[in-house]
Amino acid sequence: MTRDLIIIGGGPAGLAAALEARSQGIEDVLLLERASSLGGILPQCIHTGFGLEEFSEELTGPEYAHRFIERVKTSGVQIRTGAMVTSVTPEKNISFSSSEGFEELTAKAIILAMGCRERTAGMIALMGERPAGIYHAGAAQSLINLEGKKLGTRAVIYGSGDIGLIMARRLKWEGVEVEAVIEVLPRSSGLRRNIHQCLHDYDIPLYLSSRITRALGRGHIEGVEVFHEESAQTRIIPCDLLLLSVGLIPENDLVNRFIPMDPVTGGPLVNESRATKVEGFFACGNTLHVHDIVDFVSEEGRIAARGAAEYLRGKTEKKRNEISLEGNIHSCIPQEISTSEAFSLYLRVKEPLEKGSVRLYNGTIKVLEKRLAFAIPSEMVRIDVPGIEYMTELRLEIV
Amino acid sequence: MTLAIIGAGIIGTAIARELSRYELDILLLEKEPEACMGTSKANSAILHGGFDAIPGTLKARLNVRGNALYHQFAKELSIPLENIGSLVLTRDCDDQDRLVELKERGEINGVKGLEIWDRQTLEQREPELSESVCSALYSPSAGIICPFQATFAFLENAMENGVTFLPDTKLLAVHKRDGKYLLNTDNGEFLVDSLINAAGVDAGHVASMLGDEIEIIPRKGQYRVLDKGEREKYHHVLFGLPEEHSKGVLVVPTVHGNVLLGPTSEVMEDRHDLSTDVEGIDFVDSAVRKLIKEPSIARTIRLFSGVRASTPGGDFRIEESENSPGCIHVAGIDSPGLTAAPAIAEYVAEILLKKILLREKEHVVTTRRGTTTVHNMRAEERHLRIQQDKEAGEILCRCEMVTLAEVKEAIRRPGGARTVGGVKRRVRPGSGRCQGGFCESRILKVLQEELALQDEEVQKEGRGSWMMRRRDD
Ligand SMILES: Cc1cc2nc3c(=O)[nH]c(=O)nc-3n(C[C@H](O)[C@H](O)[C@H](O)COP(=O)(O)OP(=O)(O)OC[C@H]3O[C@@H](n4cnc5c(N)ncnc54)[C@H](O)[C@@H]3O)c2cc1C
Ligand SMILES: Cc1cc2nc3c(=O)[nH]c(=O)nc-3n(C[C@H](O)[C@H](O)[C@H](O)COP(=O)(O)OP(=O)(O)OC[C@H]3O[C@@H](n4cnc5c(N)ncnc54)[C@H](O)[C@@H]3O)c2cc1C
Repeated sequence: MTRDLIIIGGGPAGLAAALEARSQGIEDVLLLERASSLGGILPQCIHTGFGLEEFSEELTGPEYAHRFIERVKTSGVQIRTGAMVTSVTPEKNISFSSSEGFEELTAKAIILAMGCRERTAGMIALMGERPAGIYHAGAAQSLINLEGKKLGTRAVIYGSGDIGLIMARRLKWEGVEVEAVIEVLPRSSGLRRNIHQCLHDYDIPLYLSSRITRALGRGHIEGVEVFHEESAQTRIIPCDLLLLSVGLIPENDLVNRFIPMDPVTGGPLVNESRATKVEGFFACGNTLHVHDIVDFVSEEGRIAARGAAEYLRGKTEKKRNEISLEGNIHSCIPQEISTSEAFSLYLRVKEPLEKGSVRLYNGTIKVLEKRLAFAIPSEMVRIDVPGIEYMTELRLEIV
Repeated sequence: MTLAIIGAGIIGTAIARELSRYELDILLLEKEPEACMGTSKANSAILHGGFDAIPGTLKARLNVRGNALYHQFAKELSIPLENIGSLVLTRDCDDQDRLVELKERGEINGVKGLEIWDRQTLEQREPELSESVCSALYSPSAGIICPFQATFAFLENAMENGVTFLPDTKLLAVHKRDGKYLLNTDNGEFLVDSLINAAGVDAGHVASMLGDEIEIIPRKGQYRVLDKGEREKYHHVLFGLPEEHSKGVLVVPTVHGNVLLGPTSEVMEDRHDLSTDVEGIDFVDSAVRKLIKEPSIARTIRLFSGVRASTPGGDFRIEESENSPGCIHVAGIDSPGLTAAPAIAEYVAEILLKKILLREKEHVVTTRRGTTTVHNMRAEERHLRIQQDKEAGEILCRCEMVTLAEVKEAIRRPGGARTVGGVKRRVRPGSGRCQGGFCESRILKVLQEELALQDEEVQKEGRGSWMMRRRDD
């Protein structure tokens, strides 16, 4: 059976894409979600800080998700939960498994919105005996917030990204002693507001430029060995719980065989419509690049849905121009432009920056220059670019 | 007559299975909550050809025989086994002599089909080798096997034929009583006529309970596990030339589709030390670079280590107790113990049959059905399977695509899973690239429901590996 649009993943990216696809007039939209309910990672994010852009309100994760889910349910989108997509082909054949059976469908267009997964102890070469009591931070968040479990009494958190910071505070609220947050880099990779609200407000120490070299203990974890780069000193912090919050990886196993990926973001290479390099495939949300703020995720879901709608209406794509990156830029979404109309760029800097500027060149012509008072790697910067009539070579730099 | 086997690793379970053919009451005691929690869970998983053991040793004989036996019954017992062959690589063309020597040794041991391959042949059949490799000894009978499924297959088949499996039962002391042995365990006392010591790295300790002295030298091996997608690069098990105490560092494709790089060989003070460290893993990395082109170290999904129970003499020590008549030690079973296991079991039965008259049972079950992997089914078949059992459609593990039905079966089978690690070894959730990030909470839930476990009773692996606390703790 051929469907017009299939969206894989019912988190904020997939939900926003589904709604927008319907308002763009696509009749036949199918949303496949492997969990038993919609919302993606949001239902377990019971802290506030969602929706400032989208709703001009500070909502919790479940509240934010709820607003979208309610609308999707009445929008005419066909929803299948408990449906895990197990394979996708370049011809857009999708198979998925659910308690109803193993089904195969073909789509005219596909939006990828599978989110991301967490980096593991093996990937960071955590040494020691692999005792119990080491959890991925997101997995721990789900066990604590959704299942009401108690994982330990004295915790150390490895990684000071947002998830690590939020979990530090969450554990504190649960009555767990949080001994320290350990960060490899000389700075936290979390949002500034989270460093204040989650660590400073609770007197939780943050050890920068430090690595956990070893997990101590045999049956259950008893502590961690922490090495401080500058002083070359090692200290031991006793604990019975270690949360790993050491990075997220876009979830692309279904398609990375045939969709070209950006080695920096870990997600597909896309143009301003979030069209990947394989015809009819669009990507948004954490599948495309890891976001820190959900509002951008929802916005990106809508962009991808508009792209898919135009594709389904038969609009052919113009030539793509790759944007080359120079100076203090870690990554940029989209990586390619194939429109003469206005578009937005979402950037991350490599190194913290004060009083810099972003410049975009088309060949030798400067199209745009914008001052950046302040930027840090953990906070995405959005730059709106006016339409460019005769596009040649695009070059973006931050100095 | 009652006989107790101490230790449910590959050796203890293989012996239990072999002896379950006879009219005997067999108790299989294991200190951990499940079988396969010692060395049998952490090794290179190779079915060795048997060319490198010194002719005339037990290792030489039992390796070749064990290899043949697995090939006979792997299908019947649903043990995943692939006959991919192995290559011993030399980098220095002067070492050619050592290859010829190894080949001759192998032929004396009865290994069939050994060949020496030159660089040209290697380039065709194993293209990812390092530039410096010059020739190799090819052994077609070497293969790879699932050590977990092998142990579970032996255990389940033994239980089906009447063996009593006693997990969570640690032997603490043995007392002689009227020609019998009273076993003192942390799970009650047992009176038996005979005892078989298959306690792996603890075999020396168990021997001392019987008044004997057996020296075990623990020798640790550390590994990297690489993600799926790497295995396709390699077509054989790849060895360097054997070293004095070990087979050197290897590149091993696994039956699950991963690649192992390792092991080291380090003598340890503490026989239960399973830690990995930077020195060990660095050693593996540099040794592996001598065998293959740049290894994909960035695709590591896990590090682990296992401990070999070596002996000063270097051979297996399978012998009757000096001071406790009727008891047999199966000690010093380091590599190739996994391969030799079924032959070791036969050998133990021989020793026993010389001492006592054993009657064969009239009816013995010889087959064991494995768990069907839903993900490997063809689409229509899979759809039908889900129509019969909804839970075969509910995927709990995103990496290995394991369904709820399979996880429940892993727990419900005889001698089934009791721990998160046990579920993982049986049906693989948690062994993929996300390392349980996605499935762990789901597996915890199923374990709790199936086994009626309180939060604080759930274990990751063996003793003391609790995962959650009581809420009011
Ligand atoms: C701990 C944490 C705290 C955060 N805090 C904040 C905050 O305070 N403020 C803020 O604005 N943002 C926050 N975020 C960021 C924001 O929540 C995420 O960026 C957002 O949820 C990403 O949305 P997504 O739809 O791309 O992915 P997800 O929410 O991960 O959704 C992806 C969905 O796809 C499904 N899926 C994946 N593969 C398949 C498949 N094969 N078949 C079917 N379905 C599949 C998944 O089950 C999931 O439901 C936080 C994120 C985390 C993890
Ligand atoms: C690094 C490494 C690589 C190897 N590679 C290979 C290979 O590729 N091919 C191959 O053929 N072989 C290989 N081997 C060898 C093989 O793994 C071992 O020979 C085999 O697993 C030993 O099995 P076992 O049953 O004797 O020991 P174990 O599996 O350790 O079983 C012993 C059991 O006894 C239990 N026990 C101990 N004390 C007590 C007690 N007091 N009461 C009750 N129970 C007790 C333990 O809990 C344990 O479960 C390798 C070994 C290592 C370490």
